[in-house]
Amino acid sequence: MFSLDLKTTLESIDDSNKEDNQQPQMYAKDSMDRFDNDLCALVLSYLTFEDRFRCECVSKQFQRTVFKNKELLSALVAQKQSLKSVWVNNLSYNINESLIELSTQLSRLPQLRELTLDLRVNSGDNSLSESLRTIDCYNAQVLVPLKHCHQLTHLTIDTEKMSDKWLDNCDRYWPRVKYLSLRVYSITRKRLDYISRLPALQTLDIICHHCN
Amino acid sequence: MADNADHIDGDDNEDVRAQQNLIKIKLKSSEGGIYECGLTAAKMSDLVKNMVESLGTDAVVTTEPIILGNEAVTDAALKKIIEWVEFHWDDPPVDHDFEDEKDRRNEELSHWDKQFIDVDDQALLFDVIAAANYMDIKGLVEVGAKHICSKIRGKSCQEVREMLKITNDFTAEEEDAIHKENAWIYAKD
Repeated sequence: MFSLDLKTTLESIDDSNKEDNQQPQMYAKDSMDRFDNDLCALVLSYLTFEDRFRCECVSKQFQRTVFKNKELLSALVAQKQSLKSVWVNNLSYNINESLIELSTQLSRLPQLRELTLDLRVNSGDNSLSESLRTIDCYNAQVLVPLKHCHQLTHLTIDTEKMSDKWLDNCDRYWPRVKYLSLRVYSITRKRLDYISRLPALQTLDIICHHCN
Repeated sequence: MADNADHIDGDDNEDVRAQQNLIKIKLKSSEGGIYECGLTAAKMSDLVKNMVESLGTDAVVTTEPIILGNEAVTDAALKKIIEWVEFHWDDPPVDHDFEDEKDRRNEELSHWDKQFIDVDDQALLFDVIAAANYMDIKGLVEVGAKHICSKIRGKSCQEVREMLKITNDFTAEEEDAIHKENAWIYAKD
């Protein structure tokens, strides 16, 4: 099981507050401590996948920044094509393209059996709500690449909104799905029709607020 | 000449770029040193490019130097940066296509860039990278980043700290916890 904890935007806001408190501190000119988080993240984005993990305990700044870059996922996929189980949460992918990129990368895992997508965005932080509106989970294209994961047996999707299209013809591209769990705001008749056609389905777990 | 320069601003034509690079503008470091640089080369810095575009080429060529106020832009760093842009100004423009970007990120540095960035004085190295970042010269920041990452490659946390003079602000317990979390990466599949 591999759990991918993509750092949230919330955390990076916390970081910047911390940085403000540290502002008066002077760093030696020949110490990399002098780089701010953004520059540090940029530099470390050129590290290989293994080096990133090895570097996580260099300093708190390294820990904060070493996985900030979205290249992490492509690096992960390139190195671990045999991964069978992925759990994506704490999503900082707050733009649609990144979500497509995310699912494109996941689709390159031919052995993938279990997938948990926690696309629920932490609420409660007002400054974030603006940027979060840009997530267009109604976009039908977002999960299309996942149609290549024919080996999937367990799929969990936790999201506020999702397009009906996400499950169109799902019986054809996920013929082995035994376990399907959906946490969604609303579910439609049409979506249930598609789910009912999943040939291998044994367990269905749906939590939704609205049913129409 | 100056009239001409304004007229041809923004043209990507190679000859025009070469011609424009004959126009010299002045850049001023945070330490007060003033250095000449070809216009096309200087415009590899998005910061300088935006200034030139808002002030107009005439003003930049004939009047005061462009002031680079960030403390990382020391005399020594600015000299290095000018050396880099004067070597690279006629590089083909960067293609923002995603696959190309991935290739570029993974590409090894050229021999010239390796020699350029391999400076013994680490304070100067960090000045050059921070100054290039401030001046928004993406190509040069990338050279610096690749250089640092190639030095980090395969080293332990402690070796990285010593090399880059990074303060360890973890407690022993915190560090142990991270090691445990990451143990799987070293395990065989």
